[in-house]
Amino acid sequence: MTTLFGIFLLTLLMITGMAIVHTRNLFVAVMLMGIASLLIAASFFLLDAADVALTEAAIGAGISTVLFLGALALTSERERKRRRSLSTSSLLQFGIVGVVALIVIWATFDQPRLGSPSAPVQAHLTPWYIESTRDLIDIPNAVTAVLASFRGYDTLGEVVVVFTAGVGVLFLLGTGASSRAAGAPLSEDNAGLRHYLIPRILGRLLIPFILLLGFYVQFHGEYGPGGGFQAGAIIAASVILYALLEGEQRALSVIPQGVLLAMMAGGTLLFGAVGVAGIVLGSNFLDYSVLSEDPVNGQHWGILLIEMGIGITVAGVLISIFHAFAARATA
Amino acid sequence: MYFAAILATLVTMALALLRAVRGPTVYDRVLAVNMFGTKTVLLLAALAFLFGRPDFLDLVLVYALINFIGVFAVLEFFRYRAMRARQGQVEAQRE
Amino acid sequence: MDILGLYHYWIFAVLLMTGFFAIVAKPNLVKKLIGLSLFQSAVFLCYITMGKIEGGTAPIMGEGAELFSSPLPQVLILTAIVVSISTTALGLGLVLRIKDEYGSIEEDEIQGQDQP
Repeated sequence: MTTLFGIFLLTLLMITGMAIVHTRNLFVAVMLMGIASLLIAASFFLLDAADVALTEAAIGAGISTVLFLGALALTSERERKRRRSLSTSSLLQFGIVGVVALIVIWATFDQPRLGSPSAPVQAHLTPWYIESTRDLIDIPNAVTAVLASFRGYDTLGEVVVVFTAGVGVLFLLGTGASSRAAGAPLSEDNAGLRHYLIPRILGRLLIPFILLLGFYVQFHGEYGPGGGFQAGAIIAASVILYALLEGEQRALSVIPQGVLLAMMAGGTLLFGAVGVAGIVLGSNFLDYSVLSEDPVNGQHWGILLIEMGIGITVAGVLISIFHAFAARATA
Repeated sequence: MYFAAILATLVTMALALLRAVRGPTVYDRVLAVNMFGTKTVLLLAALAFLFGRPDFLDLVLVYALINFIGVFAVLEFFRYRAMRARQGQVEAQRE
Repeated sequence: MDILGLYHYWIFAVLLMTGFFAIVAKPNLVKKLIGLSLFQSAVFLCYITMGKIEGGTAPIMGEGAELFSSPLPQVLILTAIVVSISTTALGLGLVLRIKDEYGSIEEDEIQGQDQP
């Protein structure tokens, strides 16, 4: 029965995807992308992926919408109207896309059916990871155990990619702090939504709770769905909400640019330092068992420290990217 | 009982999607997205209890709060666009 | 033909090609980025679908649950989602700078200005 729910949600997703590509109004496309993100998160939840649904919720519906709307505000909101001609190039585009879609569908006939217990990934890998999480790491959330310990090297690479993207955006767009005169008067431009009473009051009521939820997700990531990536996104979302309400100047005075840069670099360095600590204490890079006398306790310490590093870096990068975009709007 | 609730929520989500795709004005679409977010919260909560894992209500909390932020971003977008339009008019009058 | 069992993969194929069509056929740069985001979401769906097992539950061990879906695809996709938003933000930064330099975000207008 739940498979039927999943099928219904995916059909809605297909309709939304086609509407996104078809519409010429980019604002409508961004709104529909918000809906698509909600549908995908619900589908992930139906497919037993709770952590991934949490990440898609925190990032797709909040941060992605904010970034795309910021880009739309600074460029244009509509695509330019094209002549509706059935030229050879458009026939070629439709043709190739259709042919490749049919080839991929033909390839899916060899896949094991959804949920089949004899699929290769269920036969060997999954029981090994579940058993090893119980024996070696002893935390309830197997996804955090695999992410932080069994596949820690992967995760270090991903955190460095996030840091690099943040540095790239800062190089391209500037931090914005230098292009503004210090102590500029609080004009209408950079005031945010502060003249609208109801959004302002409700938003300010909710910001502490969002922050609290972010910290809860960060530290509870070993016992339930959660972890550094989700927590970083939620904390960044709360700071972005404050910047939307009070204006970007206020948000920069609350968390200055120097602190954001330190957060971006510091989280990655913390992760690397935990890895090097493994070498210094006599074992391999990113081996947490040597961080304490009891190997399982060492694993807990290692996971706690690197999840903190991940959360700090992701929050710093996402807030810096938002400020880089918002600074252009007031320039 | 959970099945009935989930079925009703799915029907509402389909209707909201229809309005978001068709709605002639922009406000139709913004309201449809907001309603879709609320219905997703309901759907995930019902599914969490259906699967027998009520500890997944954390996800539902996150969703409810993050949906809020998306709507605020849209409001700020409209305000910024109106302000830019007014600035453009003032400059055009000055010339 | 096992429709119920393979439907998720067919939706993956359709979404993949829809996103790809937006990247290839639409000249507006922001539309290309939106298509890229759709493409990435399709890939995430494929991986998570492969990890599900019938009668299993989310791989968070608690009381009572015995059979778990695979945690490995979920780990890969979790980090992939965060990386995808970072690279999309970088792409949007590039679009903003292109708008500053060329004054337009339509591909043919930009290429027209580049011709000597």
